[in-house]
Amino acid sequence: MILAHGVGSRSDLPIPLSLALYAGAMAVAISFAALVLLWRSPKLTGDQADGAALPVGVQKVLDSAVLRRSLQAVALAIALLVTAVALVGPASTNDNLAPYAVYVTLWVGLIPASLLLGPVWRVINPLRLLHRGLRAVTGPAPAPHLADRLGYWPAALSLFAFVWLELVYSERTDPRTVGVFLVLYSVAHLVASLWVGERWFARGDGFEVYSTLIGRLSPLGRRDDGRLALRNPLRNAATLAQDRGLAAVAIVLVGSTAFDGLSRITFWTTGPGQANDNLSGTLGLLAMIGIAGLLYVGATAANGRLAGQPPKAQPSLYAHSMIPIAIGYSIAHYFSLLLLDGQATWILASNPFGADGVDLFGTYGNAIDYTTLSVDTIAYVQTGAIILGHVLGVVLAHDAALRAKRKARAGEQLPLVAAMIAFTVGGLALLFSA
Amino acid sequence: MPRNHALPASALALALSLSLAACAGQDPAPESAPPPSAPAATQPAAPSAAPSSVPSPTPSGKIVEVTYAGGEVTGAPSRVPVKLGERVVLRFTSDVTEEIHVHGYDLYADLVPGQPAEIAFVADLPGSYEVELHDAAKPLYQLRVS
Repeated sequence: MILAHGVGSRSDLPIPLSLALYAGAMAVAISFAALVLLWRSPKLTGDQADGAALPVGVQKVLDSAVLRRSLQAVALAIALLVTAVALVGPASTNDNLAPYAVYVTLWVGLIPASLLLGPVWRVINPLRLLHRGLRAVTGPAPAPHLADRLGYWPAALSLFAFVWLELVYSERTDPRTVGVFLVLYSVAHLVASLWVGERWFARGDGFEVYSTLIGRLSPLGRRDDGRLALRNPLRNAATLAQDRGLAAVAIVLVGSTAFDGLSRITFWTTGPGQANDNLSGTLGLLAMIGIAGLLYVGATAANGRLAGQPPKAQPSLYAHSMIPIAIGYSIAHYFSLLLLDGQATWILASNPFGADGVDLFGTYGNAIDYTTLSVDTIAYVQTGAIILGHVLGVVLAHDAALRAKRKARAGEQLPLVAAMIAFTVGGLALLFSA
Repeated sequence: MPRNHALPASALALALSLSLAACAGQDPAPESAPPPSAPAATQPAAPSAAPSSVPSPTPSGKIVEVTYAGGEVTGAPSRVPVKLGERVVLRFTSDVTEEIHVHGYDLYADLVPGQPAEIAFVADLPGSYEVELHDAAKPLYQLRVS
């Protein structure tokens, strides 16, 4: 299969021109309205004891070590099964659930799961369980200070490795490739965590950071006093710790999804991407991430210069405002994949190893139902996700500018707003292009 | 501090604009402007998918014929628009032994050099589906069904 995202037998149709134009115009209009109408002093940070706290009993259960270890054990069992199926199960992608489970159910499924429930993968990350087991044997970590020094950069690298595999590598749909990746990824992160400590996962494990950042836009958060609470997702996002490398993670996510969109349009498949090999794909992926990075860093530096502030600090101040844009892009490109081709995971789960006569859940004979989603629904969800991501990004960036400099004028925020409009219009253009 | 109404106002504006955009309706996809070439007259039982050397009466719906020679695909644009529910006939001629695969509809046909192969089906699944040479994983074109 040639399709850009790891597996998938179909692509979405281009969105209608009228929808693209409406959405683009709205993005511009809302951005300027926001600059003029929104609050004048920072509102999203400050009062940390906000939000409706969950009952103490519920919090005790959710935070309990027993719950976490059990969930991690279940996740570990599933991960081992998927890896086994990938390495020794059916050789054809059509019959093997591993590529679907990893590229669709896990990678895309983490988005709705984290938007609803918060940092889901932090709670069920099977690598954490393995780490604890190994730590009992190897003793305490020798270099815990590295966790702060490195920030989110290791996660940006892990995510880059995964999106390269998913979007570029020529053997990406081969189940054996998926199996080898799972093993190598796990080994690499276990070794790193034994060196740096369990905190490695919170900043270095790509999937956990992905889930944590998305979870910051869920209504579930932890207040400063340690209580779990339901709070305004914007506050949740604004109080994200701005460790170094956060912007890099968001840029990798936006850039990789943009490359996914790019690799399916005629301009790419008959032009620079004609060869359809690892080299052209890698260059394209790096180019899209590079463009996104330049746009973001340039805009935040310009913001800083206009506000009379040190330019170097700027990118990390606004990094959290790129998260909604990254999520909007991902939902736009992958939501139909999750609901349509994602059915394959459940169909194939009835007979993971392809043995004769096995049909555990009675679904093995089913075919994917591609009529589950109408073309109109898909187009509206795609456009809506990009626009909503843009609006949330503009609001978060506005508040961050006010936090950086009180009474920041609208004119000083213009560069980043313009960059976000560029991301949004670019995202819409990718959806619209044939 | 006076109560700030900006956020609810912006949310209302967003909701209104979205509903206005919904009234924009569904335009036909840009590349589907030229109508299908075959007449839409109804026909009795359609010819089977087996390669035929006898010229048959023109079937209704969309016909796509491509030739694959020397690594090049000729005869169809890279994106072929198809109406949802339309009957589609895909014809292939090639200079290599291969297998045609239509994604999504999951249809296969064997291809032998010099012998045309044909796949006929009703395009009842919306979306964009790749038609490729399965063994070489080489895409021929995409069917855009809407």
